[in-house]
Amino acid sequence: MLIYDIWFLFIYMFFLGNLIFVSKNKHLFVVLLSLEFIVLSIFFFFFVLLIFIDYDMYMLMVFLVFSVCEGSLGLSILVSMIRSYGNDYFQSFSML
Amino acid sequence: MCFNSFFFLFFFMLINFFFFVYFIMNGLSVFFEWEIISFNSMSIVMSILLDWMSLLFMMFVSLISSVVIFYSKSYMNSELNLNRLIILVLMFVFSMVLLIISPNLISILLGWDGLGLISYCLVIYYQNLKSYNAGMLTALSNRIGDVMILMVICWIMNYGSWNYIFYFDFMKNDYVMFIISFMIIIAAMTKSAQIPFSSWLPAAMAAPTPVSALVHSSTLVTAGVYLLIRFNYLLIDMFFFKVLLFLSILTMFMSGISANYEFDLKKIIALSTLSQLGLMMSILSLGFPDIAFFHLLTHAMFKALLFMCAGVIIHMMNDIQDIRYMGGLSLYIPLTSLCLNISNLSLCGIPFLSGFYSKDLILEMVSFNSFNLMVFILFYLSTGLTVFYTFRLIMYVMISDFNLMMIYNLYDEDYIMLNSMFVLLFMSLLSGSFLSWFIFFYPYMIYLPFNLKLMVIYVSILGSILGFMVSNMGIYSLNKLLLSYNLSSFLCLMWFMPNLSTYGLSYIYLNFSQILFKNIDMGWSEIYSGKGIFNILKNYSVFYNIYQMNNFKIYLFSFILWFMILFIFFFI
Repeated sequence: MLIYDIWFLFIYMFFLGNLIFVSKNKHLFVVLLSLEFIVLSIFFFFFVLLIFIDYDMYMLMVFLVFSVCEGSLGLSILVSMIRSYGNDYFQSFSML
Repeated sequence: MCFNSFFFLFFFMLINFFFFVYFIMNGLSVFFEWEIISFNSMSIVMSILLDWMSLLFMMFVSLISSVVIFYSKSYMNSELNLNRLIILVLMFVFSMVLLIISPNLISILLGWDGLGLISYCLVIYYQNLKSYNAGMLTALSNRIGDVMILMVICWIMNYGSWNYIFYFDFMKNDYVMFIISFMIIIAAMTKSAQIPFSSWLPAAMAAPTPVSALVHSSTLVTAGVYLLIRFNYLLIDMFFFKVLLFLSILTMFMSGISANYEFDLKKIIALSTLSQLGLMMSILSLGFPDIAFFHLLTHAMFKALLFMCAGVIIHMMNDIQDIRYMGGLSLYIPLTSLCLNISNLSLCGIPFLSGFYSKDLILEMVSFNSFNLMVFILFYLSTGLTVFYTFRLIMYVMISDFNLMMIYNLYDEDYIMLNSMFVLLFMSLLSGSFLSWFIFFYPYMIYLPFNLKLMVIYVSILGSILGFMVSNMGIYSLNKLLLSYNLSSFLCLMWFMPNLSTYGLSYIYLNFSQILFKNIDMGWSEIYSGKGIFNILKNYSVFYNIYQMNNFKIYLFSFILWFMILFIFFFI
């Protein structure tokens, strides 16, 4: 609704991704997906930003590489958790 | 331990006797004084006054206590901790001596408090429930007197020192002296068990018998009389002295009546002590301190002897004190019944025994000086009542049939107890005439009409006949006086004073404190402390446990919250 500017879209996507990240879900996979969504929003904003700085897109590729590594790390954590607990339900963690 | 203290006290008695004779023959009076501190107008001195009265009293106290300690070697020989009793008795004698020789209120307070506390320890010596109750009654009644003497100490500091003997003639009409005399009279009334405070003396018979012989016959209860004798110059025109006359005459009368209803041997003797104390107090408050002192000393002798005979009888009856089980003892224990008879007859005032000199003198002084009709009647009635309960006791104990068992073997051959009783027997026979020759420099002039002079003998004979008639109880005899239940319970239970002193004083407070206990101790204060906090902790810790078993994501949500706050404040 708040689409006056491209910049508002970025704020909106980023904030929503964080919201999903902190929300209580049943599955850990949802947390990882929200992280990917945050990464995607930052990628989008980075792309629009770099258009205004003389089309230097190489930094964007570095960012993409790091984000893909992070995603794969998350997936490996998910796999190890499934292998040890049998599921990826999030209720086994508590604040203590 | 017994023999050592016996010899020490006997030797002390001999020293006192020789000094007494020397002092009274030469009219000597020695005053030792040690000035501890002297402030601006206040001086603290420790003084010791030795005149013939204190030396004579000390001689009698040490004689009775030495004989009692010797007696208790055999009476309490089955007692494991006899040394404790002997030490307590020695401390008691020390407190009494301190009281006797002091012209100074602080040392009187030391002796007085010492007497009260040690008599408490002695009364609770057999540690059963009845002794505890009796000890509490004794200690708290005496405590009132201690408080009174403490307040006298405060008031007499007004005059500059605590030596009261210097202030009698000088300050007689002062308001402060009026208050001091009031408090001293109340203190003496508590110690000598006059009417409002007389419930502790029969109850204190829970003490061992030698202790009763020393404490409750001659020394503790006469401390009050001795204090009033010392203060006599001050008190002699005061109004409250006449109130004391009234109360002590009533004490004499009341205990004479109650002793006729009693069936416990030691309680009868205790009530007769109370009656004689009333006699001493009343003759003192009529204005004759030396006659009161004379009766104090002779009474000490025969009453201690009477208690010791009662001790022998109790030992023989296998620790039964009820006189309904006794009878015919004069056939089996001749020496003890000799001592019992002589002390009883001396108590009644039979001519030329020791009690006759003091008691007859008192009655003749009452008849000769003009007093009230009530004073006159109550004095003679009480004398008759004394003879009445004495002869009733003699009938029950010595003349009737033996009521305890069918087959019996009573023997008297305990020579330690007998020897100690013989010393007191000797003194009880002779001390009347001996004292009257020593302490009265000139005889009292008494001139009475014939019938008034013989009034004593009339009431004595009447009392003895009534005593014989009342105690002729067979199996079918009906005591018609007991049919009027209210009157006889009033007269028998000492005019309800023990109930008033114990139950009556504490009933309101105990009731109220029960209400407080139920409502507060077991009610509200359990909610606000104790169980309430426990319940709070229990319930809320469950909540805390559930609260903390939540998701990590809740923690992370606070970040988003912070982000929203920033967004709201900085972009709108």
